[in-house]
Amino acid sequence: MAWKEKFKQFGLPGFIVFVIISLFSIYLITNNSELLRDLHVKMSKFMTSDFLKYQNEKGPILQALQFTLLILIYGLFLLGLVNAVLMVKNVILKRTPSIISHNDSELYLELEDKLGDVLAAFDQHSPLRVIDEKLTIFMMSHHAEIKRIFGLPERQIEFVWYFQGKNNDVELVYLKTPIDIEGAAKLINSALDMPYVRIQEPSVNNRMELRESPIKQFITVRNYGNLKLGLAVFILKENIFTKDNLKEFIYFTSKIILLGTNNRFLRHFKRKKNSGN
Amino acid sequence: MERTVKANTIGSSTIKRNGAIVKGTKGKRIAHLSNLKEDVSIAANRKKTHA
Repeated sequence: MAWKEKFKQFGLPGFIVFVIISLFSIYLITNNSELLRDLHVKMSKFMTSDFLKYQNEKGPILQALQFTLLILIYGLFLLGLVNAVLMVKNVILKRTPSIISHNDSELYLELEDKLGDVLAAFDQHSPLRVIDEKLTIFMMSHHAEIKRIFGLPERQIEFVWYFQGKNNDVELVYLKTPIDIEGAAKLINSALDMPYVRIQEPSVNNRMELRESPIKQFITVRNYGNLKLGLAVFILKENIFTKDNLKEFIYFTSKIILLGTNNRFLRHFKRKKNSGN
Repeated sequence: MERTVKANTIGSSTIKRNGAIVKGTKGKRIAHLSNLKEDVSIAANRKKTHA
């Protein structure tokens, strides 16, 4: 509900400010209200300054001003108190936020295992077919993990790996051909005009050229420096990105950023592309 | 012998790019895509069943 969202956004201090403004407005509208007059008298009781003491003979404007000042003084005191309590609560209950749960960390370790298989296959001089198989398993495990992060089934997410080819060309490799390969290529190509290693487009259809595309959201990650290896993710459903899943995506892909720096790994990736020709 | 990987269709394409690829120098956050290049030329390579 909208009001709940607003409340979350401004929090308790915002609510207190809202109450103060409301009370002041009511006081101005119904100046002779008994309830507010009682409140006014009670609030001024604790004040030592003569100006803040309630006096019947004071004019309505002066009384309204006095009431405003009293409300501000009490409001600020209340705000300070609430913030102090919140600060103490945060200090006492402070926990290091964990991006991944215990189960997720097991999945990450499994993925590490898959990468280990590929690297071990290099060292053992395994036949190319074996290396290729292990690399495919590794790619699939990566896809599975990203699907889990965004909570999407196979049919709503697509993946394209890319690396630099000759003459600044960009070579794309995929296990499943994307439903809109031209749209996918436009997004990847445009992302490569920016110096960021992670780029997102949360509203692909808002782009005139891609308003009919089945791709709804796009995110990509690549290595630092000259392009070695990148992974583009195309989401076929709207409004999937959240603050939390993007945070986990950053964490998860921090390893991809390093993959391209492993020359043997990259060589076999390129070989995979050639095997697709 | 049992196969560990199902037959996959490895596909590949090439983006014929005009201009250099910008070096990746900035991280930390996920940047929003700025401009979309309209004209992109891609050459889709033929697919091959790969095990």
